[in-house]
Amino acid sequence: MTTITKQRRALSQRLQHMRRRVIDAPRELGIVRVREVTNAIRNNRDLPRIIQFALGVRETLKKLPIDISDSELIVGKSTEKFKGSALYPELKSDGLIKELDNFNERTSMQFKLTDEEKRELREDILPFWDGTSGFDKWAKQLDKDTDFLVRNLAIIPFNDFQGSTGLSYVDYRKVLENGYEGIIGEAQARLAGVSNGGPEAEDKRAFYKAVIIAAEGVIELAKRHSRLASEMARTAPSEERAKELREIAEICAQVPAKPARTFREAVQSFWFTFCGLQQMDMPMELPGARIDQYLYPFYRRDVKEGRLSREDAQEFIDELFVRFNQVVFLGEYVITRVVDGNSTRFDLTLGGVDRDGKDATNELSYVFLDAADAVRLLHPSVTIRLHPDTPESFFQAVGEVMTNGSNVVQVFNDNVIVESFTRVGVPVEDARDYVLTGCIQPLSGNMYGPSCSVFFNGPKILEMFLNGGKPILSLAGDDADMPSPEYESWEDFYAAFKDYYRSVLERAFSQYRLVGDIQRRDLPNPVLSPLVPGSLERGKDVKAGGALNNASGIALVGNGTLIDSLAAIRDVVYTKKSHTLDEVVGWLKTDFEYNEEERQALRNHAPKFGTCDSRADEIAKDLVDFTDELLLSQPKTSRGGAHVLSMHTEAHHIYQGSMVAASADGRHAGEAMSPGCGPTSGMDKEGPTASMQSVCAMDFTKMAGGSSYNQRYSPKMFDTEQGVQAFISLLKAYFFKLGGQHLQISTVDTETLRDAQKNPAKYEDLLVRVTGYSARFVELTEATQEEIIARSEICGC
Amino acid sequence: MDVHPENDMTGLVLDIQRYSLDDGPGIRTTVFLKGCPLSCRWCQNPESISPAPEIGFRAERCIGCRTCQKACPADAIMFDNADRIDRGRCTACGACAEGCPSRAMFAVGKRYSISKLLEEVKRDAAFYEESGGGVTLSGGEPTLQFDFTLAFLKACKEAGLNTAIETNGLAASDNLRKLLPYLDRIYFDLKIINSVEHQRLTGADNRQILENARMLVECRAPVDFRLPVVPSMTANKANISEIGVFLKKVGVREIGLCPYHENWVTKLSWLGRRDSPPAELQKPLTSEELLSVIDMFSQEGINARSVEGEIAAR
Repeated sequence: MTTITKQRRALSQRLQHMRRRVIDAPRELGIVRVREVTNAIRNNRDLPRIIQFALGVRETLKKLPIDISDSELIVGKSTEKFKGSALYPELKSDGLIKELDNFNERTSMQFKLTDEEKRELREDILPFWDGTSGFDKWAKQLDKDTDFLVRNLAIIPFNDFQGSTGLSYVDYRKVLENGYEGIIGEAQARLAGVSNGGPEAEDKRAFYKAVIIAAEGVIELAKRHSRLASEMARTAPSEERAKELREIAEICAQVPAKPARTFREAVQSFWFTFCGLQQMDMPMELPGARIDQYLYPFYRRDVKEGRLSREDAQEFIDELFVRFNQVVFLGEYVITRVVDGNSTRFDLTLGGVDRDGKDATNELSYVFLDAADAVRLLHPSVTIRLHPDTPESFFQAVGEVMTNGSNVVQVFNDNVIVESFTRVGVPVEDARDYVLTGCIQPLSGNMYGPSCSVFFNGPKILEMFLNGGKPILSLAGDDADMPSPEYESWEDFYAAFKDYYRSVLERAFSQYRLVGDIQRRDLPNPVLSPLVPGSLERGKDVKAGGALNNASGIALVGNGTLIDSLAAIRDVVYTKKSHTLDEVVGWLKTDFEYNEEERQALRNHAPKFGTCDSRADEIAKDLVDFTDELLLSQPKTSRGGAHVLSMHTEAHHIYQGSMVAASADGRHAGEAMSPGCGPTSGMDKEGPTASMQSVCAMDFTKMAGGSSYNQRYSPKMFDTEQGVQAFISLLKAYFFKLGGQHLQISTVDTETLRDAQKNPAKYEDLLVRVTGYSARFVELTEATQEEIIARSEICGC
Repeated sequence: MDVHPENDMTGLVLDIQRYSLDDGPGIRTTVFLKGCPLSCRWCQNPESISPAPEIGFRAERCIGCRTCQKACPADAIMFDNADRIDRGRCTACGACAEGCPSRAMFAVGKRYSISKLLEEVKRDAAFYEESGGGVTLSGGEPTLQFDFTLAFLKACKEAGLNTAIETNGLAASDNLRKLLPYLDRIYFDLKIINSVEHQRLTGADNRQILENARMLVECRAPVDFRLPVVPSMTANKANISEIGVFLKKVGVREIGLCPYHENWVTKLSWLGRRDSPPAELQKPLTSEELLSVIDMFSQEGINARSVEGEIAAR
């Protein structure tokens, strides 16, 4: 038994400095993008929307003030600010208008903007979008019944107006290998080939023209950096820096316009492409995709030809990791709650199988993993794909990073994800080429698929079912005291509940189709579309179904709470018959005010999901099977794809939980619900193996939209090599024997978290996994901090 | 639901701990059987000593609903008594624990049939398989419920599970021999060599224990010796040197160390015990103390290491 000495690789001086700067920098709002896009629409009223957007993007990238700071080797930013967010009022403008004065002052996720910028937004830019954003158009069409469900947070079907449209497979290889000039050439050729006449041909022509204009913008951004670097080289403080700047000038003259010739050009080309993509659709969940794969040919060639060492590559990748943290997103107040602590998810996907099913782990997979561990910032999110033939050494490296307290990576099971996609009709090669987007949403190769478009609040639906269709708790004043339903048996009760659940779900789908129609008509994306295979070939924007594979998804929130509540009702009302349903609902209506004894009994004696109790686990399984059937029976989405199920919650389980009445699992009104797909925090009292088996009662191949499963470990579990090896075995069994889909762990003990609450200054570097994303613990709201503390600490005692 | 073959005997189980990493190789499930012939002063599981079921009470969980009082057929619940339970009257029938909504009252010891217990431990088979783990029987002293232990180990072997036992060695030699075919590993506690001291601190003579230790080595059983490292009581120069001499005499050069943890002390009050242990047992073993024990063993030519892993520098 050997004790591990946890030596974290030190960053170079240069990067330590850059890392510090990005942590300390305030978040700011950049307004060039919104100004230019708004003007492009105002000044070109007769042009199709997609061309208006493309013109706006090109103008932005032409005019964006640029700079190259001291020692950076990768250049380019997506806004004019050092750590900046662009604004996208064409998606949803009401929150921006209402909260404009508050962004500087609010307590969580503040953004700086100057008085002059505020004035311009208030007087000139935002009024244009008042009532005309995509969200506004959708809200105007809302029928009474849906509005009722939405305002009581039973369903949230408008996530696509809040950034989830960045969930897309992105083929960066296309830019790296052909350059944007290649993309322009292809678009020109296809434009010339569009046959005359008809609205469809008009749409195609507009699409190709827009793609060309937007691509010109990205090229221009790079050329401007090339010129700037040349100028700066002449007055550089040292010959060394002058040489670096001349190299930068040369690289930016080449990429992303032309194909990358070296690893470094490929990294820079990726970064300009990424900055370009930031100009549309509030892509806070845009993936970096399988970056260890598409950069590898460049890496291998440079190393072989002696131009590059692994250490040099590591330095570039470390810098890239730091640079991701300069892209932030302003969210309105609600967003700061539902994605508490961190609104941005730029996923990099490492390892896994290739399109032929063979292991694709390579040396860069290790370089990226190492960067995640050494840099330890919130972005990018790093996801590791694992499969039974993942090299043991990579398993070891991943196990080490997962258990060392860095809390920066999550893992997915290839076997389960690939099958989940082929089940919904995705070709197997594309299924194997999946990438992670958002927090935990896998997307197959060549897939456009916002898969958290609708949040579905299971415990709220149950609350309304138990109270004659009305909420017990409502901020909108809809609460009512209705008679509870009566059923002879559990089977009757459960069947009636599922009918109600189905009706709400179907309403959510119909709303989601409306959202899709608005996205198609008003919110095309000429920057992203050419990088999603299928779109250029078909002459169709991704929003119009241009991608080869399409999906959109529904996310179940509070799944563990729902399972436990149903299991408790079955146990008390129908098995033991110790209380009537009416009595139980009565307790919920008064938030157990006079029934602490009953509440304790529900918490401590009713079956709990996460303890390997078949009375709860079979409900878990059934709810997934039932929802899956319902999804498969739905008409295709507006883009012609499948609806997929996901079980991740970001911080919705806390935010939405705050508006859910007491539940039959013994939870008080307003308390957090269960996170991700897992058990209620603190209720998985039988340890990690039991919790994993409960979770795997659900068929994850029916969750193509992904899931998030969280565990928290005491760091002392990993003091020894034996502890780390046990964890790696645990993970392998969970994935390849039980069929688990996802796992992320936070390695931090309760004592540390409590101390961090008291002394936040001491713990500014402490990261924790929330659900599918990392956040700085001290920046989380108290409610989220408490939920994480409530998670069972696995300490082997 | 449970299968109860006619001759399916039952054992009294104190606890079942899954994802257990310190009780043998890999990921294990440790089954603690209730009842022990020793009563060591430092015993970290005082609730495991009595071979009979008991009732525990955790005052901080009590919400004062008095469900226990209504449920108790022996009239043994006293609300004006801090211990809550009149231990003289309590028959440990468990009615109070069953009804207690907040689990303030809880049964200490639960009967399991072989088949039920096997079903429990088999739940984690996938994890054993992946990690090279299995089932460990611990206690109390598992050999005290000998027939049950033998039958359960046989059943585990038939189910293809890796098995281990943690024993204090105080058992009839014949009994230990009968278990051997069904055990992959034996963790054998050597506490104190001096028989007077052993008697004084554990309440029992150690001749049988030492004889069993010799016997197991002689018949080449897969035995690992362990020492609970208890400040002053076992972790003293004289004892360690005597353990060293004993081990060398039987031809063993290694010993595992189980560091003492003091957090069991609160458990005494759960059992209604008012006595408090001596001061040296109220604080944890320090890493310096553990290192000095390792050092003393190495002077005897014995390689000692902590079963919880080396002390980590954090």
